[in-house]
Amino acid sequence: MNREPWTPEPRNLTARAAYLVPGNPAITRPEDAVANCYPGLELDVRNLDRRFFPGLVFEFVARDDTGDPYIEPTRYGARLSYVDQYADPDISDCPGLSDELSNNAGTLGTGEWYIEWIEQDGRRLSMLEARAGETLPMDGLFVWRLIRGLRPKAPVTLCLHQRDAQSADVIFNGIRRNFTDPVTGVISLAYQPGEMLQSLCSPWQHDFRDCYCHYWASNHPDIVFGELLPGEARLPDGQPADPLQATTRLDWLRAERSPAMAGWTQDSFALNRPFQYDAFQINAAWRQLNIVINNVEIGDDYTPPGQEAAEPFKDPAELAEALCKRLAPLEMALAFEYLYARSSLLTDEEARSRPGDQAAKDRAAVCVIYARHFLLLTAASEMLHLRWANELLWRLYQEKLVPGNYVPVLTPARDIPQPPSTARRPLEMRRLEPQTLQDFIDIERPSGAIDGAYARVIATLRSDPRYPTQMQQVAERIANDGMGHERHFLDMRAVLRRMPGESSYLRELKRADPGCTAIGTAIGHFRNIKSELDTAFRSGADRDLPAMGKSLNAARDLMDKLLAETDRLASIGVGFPYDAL
Amino acid sequence: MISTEADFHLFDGGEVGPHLLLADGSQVFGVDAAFAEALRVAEPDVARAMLGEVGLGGRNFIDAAPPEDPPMRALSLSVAQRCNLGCTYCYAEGGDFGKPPRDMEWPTADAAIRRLIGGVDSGERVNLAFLGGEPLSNIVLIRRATELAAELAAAKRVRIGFAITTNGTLLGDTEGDFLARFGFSVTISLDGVGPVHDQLRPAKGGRGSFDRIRARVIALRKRHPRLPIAARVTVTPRNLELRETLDCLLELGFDSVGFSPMLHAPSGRDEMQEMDLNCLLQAMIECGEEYERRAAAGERYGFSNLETALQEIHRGTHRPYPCGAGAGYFGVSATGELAACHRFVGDADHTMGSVGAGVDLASQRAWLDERRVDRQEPCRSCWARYLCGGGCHYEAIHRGRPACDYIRGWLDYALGAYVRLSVRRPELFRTVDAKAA
Repeated sequence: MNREPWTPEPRNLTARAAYLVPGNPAITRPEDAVANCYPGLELDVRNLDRRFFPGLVFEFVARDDTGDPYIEPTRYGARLSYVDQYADPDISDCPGLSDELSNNAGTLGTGEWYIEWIEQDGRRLSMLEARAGETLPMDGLFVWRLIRGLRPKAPVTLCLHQRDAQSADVIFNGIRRNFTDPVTGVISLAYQPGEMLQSLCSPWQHDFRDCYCHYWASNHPDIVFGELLPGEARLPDGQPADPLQATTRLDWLRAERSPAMAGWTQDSFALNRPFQYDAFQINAAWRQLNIVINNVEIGDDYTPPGQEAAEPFKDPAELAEALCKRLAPLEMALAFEYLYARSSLLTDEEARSRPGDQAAKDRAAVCVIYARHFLLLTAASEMLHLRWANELLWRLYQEKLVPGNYVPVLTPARDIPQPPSTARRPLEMRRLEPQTLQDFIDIERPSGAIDGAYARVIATLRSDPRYPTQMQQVAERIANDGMGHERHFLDMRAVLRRMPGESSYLRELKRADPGCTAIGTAIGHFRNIKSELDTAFRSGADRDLPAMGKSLNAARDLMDKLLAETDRLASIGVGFPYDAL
Repeated sequence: MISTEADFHLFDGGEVGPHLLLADGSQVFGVDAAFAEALRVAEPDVARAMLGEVGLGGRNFIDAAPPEDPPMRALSLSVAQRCNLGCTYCYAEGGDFGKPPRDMEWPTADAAIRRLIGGVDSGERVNLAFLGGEPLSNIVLIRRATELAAELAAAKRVRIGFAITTNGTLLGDTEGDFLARFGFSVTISLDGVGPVHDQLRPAKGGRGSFDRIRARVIALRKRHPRLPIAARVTVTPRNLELRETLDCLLELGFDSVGFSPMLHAPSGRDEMQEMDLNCLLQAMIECGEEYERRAAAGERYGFSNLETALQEIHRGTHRPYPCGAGAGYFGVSATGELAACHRFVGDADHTMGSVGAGVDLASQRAWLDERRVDRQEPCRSCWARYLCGGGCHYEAIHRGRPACDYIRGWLDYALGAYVRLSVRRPELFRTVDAKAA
């Protein structure tokens, strides 16, 4: 059976705790670790403490060795790396912290901030120490050790201080995060994949070997398959076409790294040992040790599997139909939904004029500026994709790969996929309510409907030399460009969820009937835009680039006018019916 | 180790695709659609291999040994084995468990509380519940018992939670103030709205009780806006309009409303039959769908059956028993016997010691050994066994297990709701994570 690769998605706590990622050794769970304290062999425990306080991420700046001279006092200590007030799931455990972080995010984004003191259980720990008659910052390692000693899940107050400026200190009340769930051992979702391993490095690998601790192998591959270089022939399942390479097992720690010299690994540790790096050799050459994924060494280039697996369209006619009937209309439909959703958001002035306390209104104003900006950006990006999808189509006609004449596609799709299900929902003018935003996230999710469809386009264009290279480049640009959209919407969701209610950021908006006289001006702009785009795309198809540029510019100016007009209409509750025109 | 098809269950997460429950550990995974289809029809050996290949089923959560002499963590005191209502289906047969009505005497309550708190270490948590009959008919004893328990717990730094289940008719301002002062969880039994309730829960003289309880609840809510008040609805064939009941009771000021089907009544009246259980399932799902809609919009909807199920599924609760009865929890009769739970009060066959002499370890061990879900039929071959635990011991012993299809249907729905909400509103499960801490 030739299926897309997939892995189970652990959902609940026991599943997350028990699931063993295929390919990982049996002892990759933290509870199996025998590692020393830090940096640690399986994980660097300092990475837990970096996020000891929800919403803040620190870096412990220390000398390389505590015996080194103390020469850069202003750098040492727990330096604030960044404020993570939106994505940190534990902030909700600390009442009021979210607002405090949002209110101070701007201040903390400027200059360098260090922890000055921490208070827990009525005791204050200063991060300064007396040194030769002066009070100076402690080395980051000692600061880390003090933070390590805080009581989990208990209230903590901390003071952030800017050493090189006069800004007032910032004080937060929160808790010392529970790093792992005491019942299931699951690590807090605040930690991102890979975060526990950062700051580990390969020089430590010889500890595994030279202490004869082969059972510590969680980060340590022993025997691997060699790297498959770009351009080397592969079988359809991704394995090397060269049977020798597919079956030659290499010693990961081998001292001789050149592909030509790579020999079979021997059957025992003792036989392999003479050909491996020595301890101090590793300290110098650890960068040569490869990352290993699925038992295969990865070199400078890594191509994730999946994209190549997309199935090409069977001929240019099928590709043309997909572009004409599905992709271009989908881009247009999404642009309309995003523009309508944007017009449902209050402007920052409107948000400030709502009843409520000043801080909340200021926060609302910042949130709507953010959301309106990214909705516009994403809608503009979809419009650009609409043009590119049309370009792909007209190139097919130009190259005579399909018969007949190119006709611009300027009609929106009537229904929109709802990944991961196979269902579709109608094109709809909706306010930016939570469900609307969720639908936007779903459609823009990588490997969802859009980039999945373009993966097929790219596979088609790569599969047949008759397609010009430029077509492939255009399709790749669309696919890559879409990657950021989901991120924008996820961030938007995180931002809007912290608002007290929909009325603090949404307008009362009703989609107007297309016959409504109030929208006459906007309809005029809209029709002119479509007409300019039609001219522009036809000119493109006729290779008349100056004419295309002229019409595109005219369309852009009209879009600015349309935006201003639809925003004015929305401010009085009238939603522009993009879908009906 | 995965051994039979009863060790997993495939369910549909709707827009988030097919999912798999592994019975052991109640682990929930999203799976590929083609994999799910192949697994559904696979022979047990093949299924085991398929699961192993994708890294599932390699870890055991539940072993065959019953828990060893679990310490007592919760007691319910049947402080008044008498009641002013005459509910048609009452397991306590009008409050007196078929015996002459009586109240618990102080020495019994005193001994029970000292046994409960004496048996735990500082920092641990215990629960003390007051049940009846109608417990508020012996409020004097409840007050004294609560004060003593709070004092002993504070002295030993034991965390204690108080709960009461009442019919609400005697819940005046003074009683409400007292319950609020000690942070009680208050559960009021109500079986519907107006006449629907009145026909099932009349006063002994035959008059309806709804209006009186309603006034009490409104007053209590107004006086103590933050006191947790839950409604418990016993569902019989005569009150199957769940959605209407749920909405009306929430509007009345309850924080949450839970439904429980009447499976066995000593009188044999109003027990649910198969058809009724089908209707109940439909009605429960209807309430659940409303819960999902509200949750997606960021609102709370106090449908406690689903709230509880979602929390348990999220934590992966897996237990070889339906509840703590006879393990960490006992019901204390008015005369001081320890029954396996409040429903077994007065049942000599399920008495396991007394507050004076403590838990009779031999009967407790026999009970825990015998009542394990893996030893019950048809539970042994049911995928839901570690979520359900085999169903209420009392009902299973007295009526068997007539509601298995209902329970599986409900769990199948709740699993789907969980995966949908865990994708759409992951922050709903933050508080559960925090509680687990």
